[in-house]
Amino acid sequence: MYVAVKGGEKAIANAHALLAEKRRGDLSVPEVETAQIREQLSLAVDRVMSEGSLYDRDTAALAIKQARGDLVEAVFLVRAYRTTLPRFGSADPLDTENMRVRRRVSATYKDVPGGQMLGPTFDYTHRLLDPALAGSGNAPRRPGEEAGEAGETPVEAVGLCPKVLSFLEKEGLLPEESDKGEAPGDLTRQPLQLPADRDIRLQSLARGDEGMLLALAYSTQRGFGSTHPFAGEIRMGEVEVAFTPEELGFPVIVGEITVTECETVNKFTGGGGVPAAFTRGYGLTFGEGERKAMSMALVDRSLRSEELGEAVKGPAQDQEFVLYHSDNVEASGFVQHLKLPHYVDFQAELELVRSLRRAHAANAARDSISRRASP
Amino acid sequence: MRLQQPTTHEPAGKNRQRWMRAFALGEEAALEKGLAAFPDCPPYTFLRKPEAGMVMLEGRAGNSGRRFNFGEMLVTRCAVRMATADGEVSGHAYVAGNRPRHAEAAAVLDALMQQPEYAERLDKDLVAPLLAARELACRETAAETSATRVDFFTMARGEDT
Repeated sequence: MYVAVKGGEKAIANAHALLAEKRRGDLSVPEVETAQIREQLSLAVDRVMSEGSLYDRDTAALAIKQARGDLVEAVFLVRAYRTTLPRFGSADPLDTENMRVRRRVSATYKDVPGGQMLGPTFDYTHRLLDPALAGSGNAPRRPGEEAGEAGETPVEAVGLCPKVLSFLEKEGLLPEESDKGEAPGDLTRQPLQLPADRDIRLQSLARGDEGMLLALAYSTQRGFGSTHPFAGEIRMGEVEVAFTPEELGFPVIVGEITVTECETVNKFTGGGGVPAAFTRGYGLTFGEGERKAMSMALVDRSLRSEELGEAVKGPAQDQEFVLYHSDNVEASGFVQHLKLPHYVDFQAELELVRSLRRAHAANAARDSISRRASP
Repeated sequence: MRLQQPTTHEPAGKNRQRWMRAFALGEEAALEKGLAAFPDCPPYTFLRKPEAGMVMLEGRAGNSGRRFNFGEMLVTRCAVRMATADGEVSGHAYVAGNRPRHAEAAAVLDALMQQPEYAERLDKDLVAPLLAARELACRETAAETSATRVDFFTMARGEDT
């Protein structure tokens, strides 16, 4: 139990002033602008939007600056901001098949209609620090400008990229996802109830902590509830958002957002008169969030254990474990509240431990007297 | 909050969706420049002042399955009422981000586009160029992406090639 304390107003005000000073750092170094964070630390922005559960690059950039680059703190700021805003309604479901793809890879087929595009990836980089970036004025080479490259591979238009998993669906090797038209539940309006349906699980994972989901996904690969997945398709790019305002009654395009999507092909079900078929997991994140989208897909699949008739053995298959512990705002709040003054609580425990020790000493003294008396 | 719908409201059509999309996706500066070229823009009043809020985005499992709440998006909306020769017309806008000026400009432009005396000129001078600029930007991005198109080869093992 936490008993409130009073006082310390002056110290708190000074601590906040000190925080602002430390945020600014050395005054001889130019102050970072939120536009610079938005443009040059864009993957930090993506993560804060994703876990903050609010798509707006400027808001996330401001939160990162205010939080001195502490991304979990920035997520908290964004979550707090979103509670001050009215909700105008729900957009039409995003259509990721019609994404303007900027990256698309498949680990299951090398030749897929629409092709594979690496896009702006860290994959295949050597992870060697680049001292040139320590200076400024780095103008990057434009893609396709390499000498001798032009004309070698004619630039093929990036057209519609059909879903890779649809090829497996057509062969009946992968069950199609079905939509019964149910309105999705909303964790931000109703408390989490277990067992949670897939809509709630996906919402929870979409706003969940990347580190937590990554660790859980990894655990399933190492044997705590095997998922044995293939990355059927990973795609990243822009989708337009259509929303139907009630005063208009027809859908209008509000803007477009960047998303990353991952669909996994997992080990199969079947037997008992049912033909074998693969199973699937789904991950979707704001911005360029490939690590998170992949982790989400693995954890989504692993949380389907029960519906697919598998034994629930690993933490990543346990709904309560995953859904109650993947929100970093809740987790951070509960862990960090421990540092607030707990003087009254502690006094109570101190008194308890002292009285237990007194009882123990009294018992020990009585035992030793009776031992001496007994022979 | 429900808005009173002015009576001379144009029926929604593909055309209105087209220009509303152009205004939402266009740059705020381009919209304001487009409006500035209309010194004869009739006066308007707010049905709804620019207001920031959120729209809940939805995804679908596997893009075709069960819908789920994906996360929210910051948007600004605005609605204006403009008197016309034979009544009045209302202009609406929903744009991404906290952008009151963008939303206001888009709402005013939506109202103008519903009036035949402005629509043709605005379409030619603003809507079409906005959509063309966007198309061009998309093509440039696609070309950059295409330069990263990859062909993976499966290496044959042993003697059989």
